[in-house]
Amino acid sequence: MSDTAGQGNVVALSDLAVCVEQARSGDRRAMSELIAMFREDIYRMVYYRTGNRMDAEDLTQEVFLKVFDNLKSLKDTAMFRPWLYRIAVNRVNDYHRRKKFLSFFVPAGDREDGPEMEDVKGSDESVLDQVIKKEFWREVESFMRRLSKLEREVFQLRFMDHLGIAEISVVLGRGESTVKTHLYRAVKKFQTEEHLIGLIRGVEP
Amino acid sequence: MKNDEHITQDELIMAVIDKTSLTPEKRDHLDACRICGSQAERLGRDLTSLGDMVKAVVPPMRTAITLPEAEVREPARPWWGMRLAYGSALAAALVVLILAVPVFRVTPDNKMEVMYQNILSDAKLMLEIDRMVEDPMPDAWAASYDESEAGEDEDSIDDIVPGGDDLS
Repeated sequence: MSDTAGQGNVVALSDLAVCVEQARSGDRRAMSELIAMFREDIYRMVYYRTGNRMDAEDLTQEVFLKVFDNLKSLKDTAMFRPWLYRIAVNRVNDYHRRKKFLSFFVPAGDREDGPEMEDVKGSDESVLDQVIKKEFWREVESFMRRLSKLEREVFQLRFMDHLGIAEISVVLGRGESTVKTHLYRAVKKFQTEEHLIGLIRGVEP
Repeated sequence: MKNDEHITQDELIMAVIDKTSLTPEKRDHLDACRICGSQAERLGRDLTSLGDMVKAVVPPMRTAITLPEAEVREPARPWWGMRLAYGSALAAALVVLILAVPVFRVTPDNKMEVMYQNILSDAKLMLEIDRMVEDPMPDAWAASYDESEAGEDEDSIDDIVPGGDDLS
């Protein structure tokens, strides 16, 4: 590992497709630019699915390494964003499979249940804000558990990661109508989450 | 669609997910009806706010993403460099062979044995030379003479090679 994709040393490259094309030919500036564009999004996406900051950081690093290892196999540079998310989704699934396998060897008392939220405790926010965030996250987790695996993935990609229907279709390798059907079911369940909706409306400006 | 008729809850969800999946008539109603419009807007806003709030909960990333190591390419060697490399490798292999195989190696321990082998080889060669001087015919010829012609009498030879009398 040599270069660090810091915020300061990144040269602006206007077009994403151009940037991807340059990164494909081994341009390290373009790679740094891609990291700067998507690192926060991918980190958040992974965090939503793991609830652990350190794991999310490690997985984000792994995602980008995999991206640059396989960038030459990407045929259409315009599809970079869904391709990136597809890699991230696969890495998260691997993570959960590995964790599930390891859980057979870890005593039940030592397991981590749900998101850690350790960084919320250490922040500068007021205790009330921290409590509200914790409560909110618990509700989100509870809602997610009510969804099927595909409903949850589709819902998260659409409303948390802000991907379009067509992009979600590419990420999950499913047809757009399948994506819409599962999204419909998830939103229908969301409408019944009165407590969660109450929290959302309570903090709205 | 009648004026007092509103879109259903299912259609409302479909409108939030993908407005184009509604029929043009329903879309027109959604645009025109204040009640249906505000319901769709409300649901859309709840979902957007959910995304924003979840984003706010995520702790900031502390570590930087590092790029993979750059490939280090060695400069191309000239053609004679390759030949030199192969030649050196071959010479090294020969040296190893000579050192490894005991026949080629004369050490204080096997010096007498090597000398004895050389004397034996020389004596064998001299015997072979002496035999060739005495009997230059190949062994195969000598064998064929012994088997086919040793027992035949002089008459039979006369049949083949006529005597001096017959020529006259």
